[in-house]
Amino acid sequence: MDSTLSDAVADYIEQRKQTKLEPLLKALNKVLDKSDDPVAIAQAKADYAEQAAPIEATFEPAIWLTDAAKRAKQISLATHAAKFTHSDAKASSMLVTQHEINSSYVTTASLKAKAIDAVGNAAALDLAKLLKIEVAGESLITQLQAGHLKALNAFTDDEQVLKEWQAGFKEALGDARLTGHTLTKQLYYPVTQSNSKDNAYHLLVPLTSSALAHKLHNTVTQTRFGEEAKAIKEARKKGHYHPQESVSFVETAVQNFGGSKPQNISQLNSERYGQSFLLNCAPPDYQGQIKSPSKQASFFNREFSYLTAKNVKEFRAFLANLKDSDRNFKTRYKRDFWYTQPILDTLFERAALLQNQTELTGWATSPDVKMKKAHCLWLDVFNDNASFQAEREKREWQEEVAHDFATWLLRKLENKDVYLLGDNEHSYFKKLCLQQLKAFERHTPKLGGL
Amino acid sequence: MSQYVLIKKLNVQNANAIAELTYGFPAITNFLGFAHALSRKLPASLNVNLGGVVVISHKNQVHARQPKGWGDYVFALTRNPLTHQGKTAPINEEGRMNMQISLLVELKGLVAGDTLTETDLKAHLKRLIPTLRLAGGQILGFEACELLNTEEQQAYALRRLMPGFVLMDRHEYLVAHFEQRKTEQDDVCLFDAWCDFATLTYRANPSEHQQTEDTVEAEQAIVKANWEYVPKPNAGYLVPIATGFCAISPLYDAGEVANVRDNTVPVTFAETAYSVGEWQSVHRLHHIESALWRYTDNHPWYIATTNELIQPIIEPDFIDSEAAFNPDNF
Repeated sequence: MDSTLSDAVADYIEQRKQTKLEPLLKALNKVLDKSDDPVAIAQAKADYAEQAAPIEATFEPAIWLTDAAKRAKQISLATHAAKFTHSDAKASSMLVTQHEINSSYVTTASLKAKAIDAVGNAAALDLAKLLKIEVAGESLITQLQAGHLKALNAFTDDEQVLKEWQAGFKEALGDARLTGHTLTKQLYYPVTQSNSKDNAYHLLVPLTSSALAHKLHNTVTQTRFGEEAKAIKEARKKGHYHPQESVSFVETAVQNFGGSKPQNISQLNSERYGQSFLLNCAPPDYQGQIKSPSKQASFFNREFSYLTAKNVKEFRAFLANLKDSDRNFKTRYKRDFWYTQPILDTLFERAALLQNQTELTGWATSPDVKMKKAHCLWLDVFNDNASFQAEREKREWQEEVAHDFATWLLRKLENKDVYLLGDNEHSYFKKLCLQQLKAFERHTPKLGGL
Repeated sequence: MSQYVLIKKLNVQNANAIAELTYGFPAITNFLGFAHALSRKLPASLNVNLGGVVVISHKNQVHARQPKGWGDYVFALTRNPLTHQGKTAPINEEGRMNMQISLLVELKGLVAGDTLTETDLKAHLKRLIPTLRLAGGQILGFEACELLNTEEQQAYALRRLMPGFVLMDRHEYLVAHFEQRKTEQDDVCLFDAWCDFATLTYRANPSEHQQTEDTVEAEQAIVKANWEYVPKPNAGYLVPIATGFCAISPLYDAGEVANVRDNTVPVTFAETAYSVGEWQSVHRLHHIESALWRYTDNHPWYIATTNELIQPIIEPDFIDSEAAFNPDNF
């Protein structure tokens, strides 16, 4: 990498010229290939020379740069673009380049390398590419921000011209005057002010961070279509070893910007085909309706085992990997909060869901009920059978439910080859369950008390 | 003793389901804004105001589908009126959702036992709530609006919100995980740490006896391995959330920026700030306070947050001895 930024700029201009000349060259070559007639060849060559001359002239670096500097105000380089909110929004776009490490919230500033977007007239987007050319960590953007344009010294000796270029290109870095627009979001944020009791507000104009969306887009596509990711997936499928982790983004959604013309929104948007990935933040889903359990013998049935299967599996893996050195608070904490608690959570969620199904009320005293008495007493809260309620009041069923839970869990966790679970563990799980069950029951709605 | 207004089982349709890079639930600031708007509309004569908000989700239906039955979700979009030229109007996609939620809103300024104000307040709330929008969606109705004055009432009411999930602030998990990642890898950034809360990760564990066998030709040898699920950095149902805003410009004085809706307040350009949240089942919410989101402002940060996390310990009195739980290892 010996080339300097100046060389890269010269290369870029040369490249632009070649693309312009290409159709002309093609036409010339066509004639050269086809005919042997010297007159025709001479004619074609003359045509080419005539048409190519003005192009050659415009792409003379100094001339092209002067023109480019004039056009620069048509675009603006930005990390945050207003058009993502509405394609007609004409508010200012912003360029954020600082890098902040010590912050606890993810923003554009927490990215080290930010993809810089360009918004504006699509015809002037070639300038964006020019400004973004980076050689050894330096680009025209960083130079402009530092207040000089040393890389362009190579193309002119005239100080005046250089100043003009600098002033011109600088306009691409941001609007001289910031403006909002009716089509951008503008929201009031209440702020505390020590000197007045009234509400004070700041008006926030949120802009979409194209840089952050681009980073997420790259990360997601990398895990899906990257060469390395493919190798990892392949290894995992076959059960082979691979030193790297297999990472996948699940439950993602795609939001499209700009329809069939993503370049109208911004350059980076066009690069990601107008798509932006969104991460799921939805709450867990539970089945809204459940059937009367009267046909089941126990609340800890196959359905419950199915719902907790993932947690149980993780719990088993955790127990299997325990070593003697793990006898400490951290392990016990993990056992309670990472593994036991989610299963208990599911238990109480299911119970509450069933208790809330008031249209099922009375199932526990129907003649063909198969479920254990204790479970019936727990779950059919609003049963209006007096003797049923009297028995429920005694709360003797709590002990039994907790006992059944512990028995069920122990059976699920059984793994005789690796570890043994016995009465100690049974009474531990029972206690844990009973204690939470009592708290749960304390505020359970009663018959007539809803 | 804090007092709360409980807005129970509020049904909202067509609420905004997208918060910049996240989807599935409106950003927490929407709910704070709702409570704030409600507070402003209450007559001054009541002399009360509403503060922080606890959000509990009961039902959640995002208007999105998987066209192929798997893979990325796409949003169900609206068909808008044609343009004057008779062409389809250009749109930027919106995500919408229906939801059933309950809100616990902190109530300040109500004198205990002042039943006259209480009834008045309830009547006003019942009248005002359906007139507002929540996260851009229409409010279809709600089951009840109650005042919870005592701890007993609050515990009683919480149990009746089962099944449901409370949104908890877990930004300290993100910070801790980032610190952890930094010790392993130098060039890691906060964004990577944040993504770890959204991804599904598996790690290969080579089978040991195989490894020794293959040392001779380690280059070509294919080592068998078990791929194991790598748990999320912390326990719980953790999700990436949009939690507020970060200013990306200086704070401009009122009137300095052109074309804004109000020329009497200071203006700043901002971007969304992300963090991590946890959906926790309601029966584990022992102190309403710990899930109470409030506005904080400290330019450039405009963030909604809850109080510091105090992790409850499951009754220590019976975790005391090793004997209580001791799987025998072979």
